[in-house]
Amino acid sequence: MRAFMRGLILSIFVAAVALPGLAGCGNGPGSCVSGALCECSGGTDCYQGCADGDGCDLLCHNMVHCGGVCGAGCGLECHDVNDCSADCGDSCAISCHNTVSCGAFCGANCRYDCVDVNRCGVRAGSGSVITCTSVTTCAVECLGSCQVICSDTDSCAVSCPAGAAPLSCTNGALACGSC
Amino acid sequence: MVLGVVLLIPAGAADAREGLIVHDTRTPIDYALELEPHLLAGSGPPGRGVGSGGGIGVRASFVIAPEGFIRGLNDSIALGIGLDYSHYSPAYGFYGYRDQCLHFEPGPAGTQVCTDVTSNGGSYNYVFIPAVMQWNFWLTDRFSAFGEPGISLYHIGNYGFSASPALFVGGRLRLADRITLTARLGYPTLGIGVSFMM
Repeated sequence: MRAFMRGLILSIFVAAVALPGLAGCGNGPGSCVSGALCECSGGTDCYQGCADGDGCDLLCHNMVHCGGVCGAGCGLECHDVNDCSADCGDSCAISCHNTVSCGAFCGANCRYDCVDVNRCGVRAGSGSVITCTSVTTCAVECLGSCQVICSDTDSCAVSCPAGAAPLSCTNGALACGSC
Repeated sequence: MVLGVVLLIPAGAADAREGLIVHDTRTPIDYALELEPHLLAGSGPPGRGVGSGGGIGVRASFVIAPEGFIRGLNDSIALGIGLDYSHYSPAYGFYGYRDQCLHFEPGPAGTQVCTDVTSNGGSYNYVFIPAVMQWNFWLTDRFSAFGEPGISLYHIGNYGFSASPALFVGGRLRLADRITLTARLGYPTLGIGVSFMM
């Protein structure tokens, strides 16, 4: 009986250590899965996440507030909303159009397109390309090298790392780093 | 699960007709430890998860007061600790979901950027560690019932440990000398299993 009890207590201990690790697999914030297009429309608020972390396509439209949170390699699109928000990792494609505001944080090699929007604001990593078209205010914070293309904007403000002034490129873009 | 409970209740009623022993002072099975592997089901888990799910687990109940709390009544007290694993999915829930933003940060141009969302839509793997006081009532030679108030620690995916209240009621149907079919209703999980009395 004593040996059995020792075995039992040891088994419980091993399982207690092992099972939380098992529970850690395959979870992330949000409802969408990698590779799937997850659409949210109607109502007032909808904020989607990517349960697999990376690789989700998140779309929201025709509501008041919406946004997406995702890891790398994600697509986030919103249109016909008041406030759109996007937070993602590297190599994301973010598209906002026909919104009042569109705020975004993205990692390296991000593509951000803001069209027919009142306020576009983005903080982007190195290698990103930001486009603001038909925008009242476009504010971009580049955390590394980046290119910002503004057309038909009232204001196009670009801040570069270490307070460096953005370069004016021959193609009309503003750039941090090199054109 | 419910079927198990449904099976236990008439069995207990039949045994009741065979002769109540509720007023004996000792339990009909002399044991120090009840070891119960079981299957689980649950809905509306504590914490972030939603939906319904199922899993497996084991409960060890150590008898700490064979005479129970009530003199002249056939009750006993055990300290139960368990380890349960359960997978939950909103696909099996009773209601829909829409994730919400948990945290906004100010972005350029006066924008607000959501940086964390709820995980209601995802599937969740829970590990529960219930710790309960098990109050047993040995109604007949073959049937016993119990209540289990306590607490359940739980671990969800990447979100660490939390705790929730735990409350169960259940019954056992004796299948052999030291083996019973055991069903448990309550929160956060339901369960049906086989108890080995040692």
